[in-house]
Amino acid sequence: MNPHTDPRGFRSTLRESAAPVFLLAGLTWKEGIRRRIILVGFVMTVAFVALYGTGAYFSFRELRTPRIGPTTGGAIDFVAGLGADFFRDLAAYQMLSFGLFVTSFLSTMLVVFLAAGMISGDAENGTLQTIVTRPVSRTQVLLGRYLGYASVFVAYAVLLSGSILILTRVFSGYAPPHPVQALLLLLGEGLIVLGLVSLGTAALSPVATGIGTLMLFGVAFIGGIVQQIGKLLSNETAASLGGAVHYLAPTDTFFRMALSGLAPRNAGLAGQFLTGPFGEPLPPAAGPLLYGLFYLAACLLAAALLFRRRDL
Amino acid sequence: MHADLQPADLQPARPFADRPAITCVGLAKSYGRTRALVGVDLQVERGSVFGFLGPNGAGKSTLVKILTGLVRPSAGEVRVAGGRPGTRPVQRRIGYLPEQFRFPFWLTGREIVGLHTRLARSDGDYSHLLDLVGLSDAADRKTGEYSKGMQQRLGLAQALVGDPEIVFLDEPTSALDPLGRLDVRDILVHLRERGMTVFLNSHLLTEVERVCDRLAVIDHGAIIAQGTTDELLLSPGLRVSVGDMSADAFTRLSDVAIRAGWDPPSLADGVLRVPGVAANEVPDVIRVLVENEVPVFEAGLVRQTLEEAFVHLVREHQHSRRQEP
Repeated sequence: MNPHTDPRGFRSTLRESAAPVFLLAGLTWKEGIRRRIILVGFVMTVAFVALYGTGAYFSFRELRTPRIGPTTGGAIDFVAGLGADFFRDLAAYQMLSFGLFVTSFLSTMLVVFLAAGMISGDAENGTLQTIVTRPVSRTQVLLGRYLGYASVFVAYAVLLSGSILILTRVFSGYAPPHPVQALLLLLGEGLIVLGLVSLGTAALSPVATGIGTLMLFGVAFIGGIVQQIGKLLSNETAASLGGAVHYLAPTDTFFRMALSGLAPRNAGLAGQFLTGPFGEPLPPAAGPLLYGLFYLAACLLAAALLFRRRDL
Repeated sequence: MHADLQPADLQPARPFADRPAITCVGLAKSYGRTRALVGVDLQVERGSVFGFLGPNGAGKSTLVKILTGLVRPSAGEVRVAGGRPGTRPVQRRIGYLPEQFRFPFWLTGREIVGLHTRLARSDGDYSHLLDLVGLSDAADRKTGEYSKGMQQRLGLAQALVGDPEIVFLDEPTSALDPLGRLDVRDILVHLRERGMTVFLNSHLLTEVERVCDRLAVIDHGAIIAQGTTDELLLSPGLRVSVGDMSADAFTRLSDVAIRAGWDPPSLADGVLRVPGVAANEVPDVIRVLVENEVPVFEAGLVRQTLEEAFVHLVREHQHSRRQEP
């Protein structure tokens, strides 16, 4: 079928524009499989999940109290079982927040390591030059690479955090209120990190991109803690400084919004306990969500513009 | 002949049949304060093999990268296959072998060709290109196991995927042994017979000399000579291997040369050159040498090689640059 003889409707144009994007995205998976990156990631994940599961099993064996009927973790249950259940839920949440933090950290590292060279690295070794002289636009190349790494990240993060959620549920009986929402927000965090990586690699060397992204990720994390401490001590300067970091990189905000989907409902006074080492849960709100979306779009747009102007 | 170079999936829109394959007018490129190209004017006819020569760092690769849309020129006009480099219709018509490249080592040669077939939006089968470049036995091996020469052969096959009308080859034989170079030369001749335009960057002058229809020489970002191979080569002359030659003997020979209308002779490393000597005048030169007791070991009429012409042109250009304030 010659794409140039049929009427060039919107659909056929779209299909034609999408073809190289998916081709390049698929190449990322092939690379991951052939270079055994996915195998190593999988084996290490299984090891981590096994360790986490063992820890969860023994922890909750101690905490579990004899009950009649399954625990749902709902509001009525919570009130009825206040006491042992209350502490079980808190402990389960602490474990989940730890697991989620590890997921976020590991998958961010994975994304940064894999994708930091997706433009500059390929440009250095001359692979990119043979691709962009084909009838594909640089924006298509960028989107294809982004999509490839994004799908690898999503698969990895879903596998890791999904295992953690299931293991915690099985061993503790605690059902977090919004696990799917938490997972989606965690994925949002990683996709924003990948957006930053795309922006970096369009202009900088792979090493500079990797270091820059990880530092920004770290700054956002520290910013969240500063904000938290500021709130605890009622220091407005610290709180607003921490809050401002959110605009620099909204990754930590997404992470803390993800945590809120796992925190026990009606925690009441116990909310104070929820301020763990990985940040205070934030209820998801339209503002930060939209800002995250805008931030990712801006990163990709700037990356595309820089890449289009770049001499290769 | 050219029709078979355009499979159905290549859009034959806006043919540029009457126009040159490549035109550059006043093309310039600066990287900060470094001027890589200074006002390059160039024209490459369709179906010709164009050789682009120059010392390392003269601007050869920069020009090819501008022509393939990888680098944006700072000034000037450039047209490739009737369009602006880097645009979709032009990219459909070109093939490119970069000077420095490494294919993803985790793909096989056949997969690389397949990938580029899909990137070129072609549904043709280009596995025969692997045979053409002599890689049929290694087609299903990962390119990470390829030698540098094999990588370069694969790079050439990759550049020919999609039956481009113009193919840009940046130092296509730098990693090849003499037999490999011969293979590439045969392929270039074959491509020209099929009507393909070939833009060849090279510093290996013998291969350029044998296959190119026209040449341009670049130095310090400026074209210093342009023309057919014959136009760029100086007139043939006499080459004589001599023993000790006294200054007196050399002066006498120079006098004879002036009277006979030959170019001034030169002597270096026991080789005497007298350009402009015709076949029937050879005995005259030998007679002068013998009369002045210069031992003569060997004598023959030679055509200047491209290498000699190239060295002469570049030295002359660099000399005149130094004279400028």
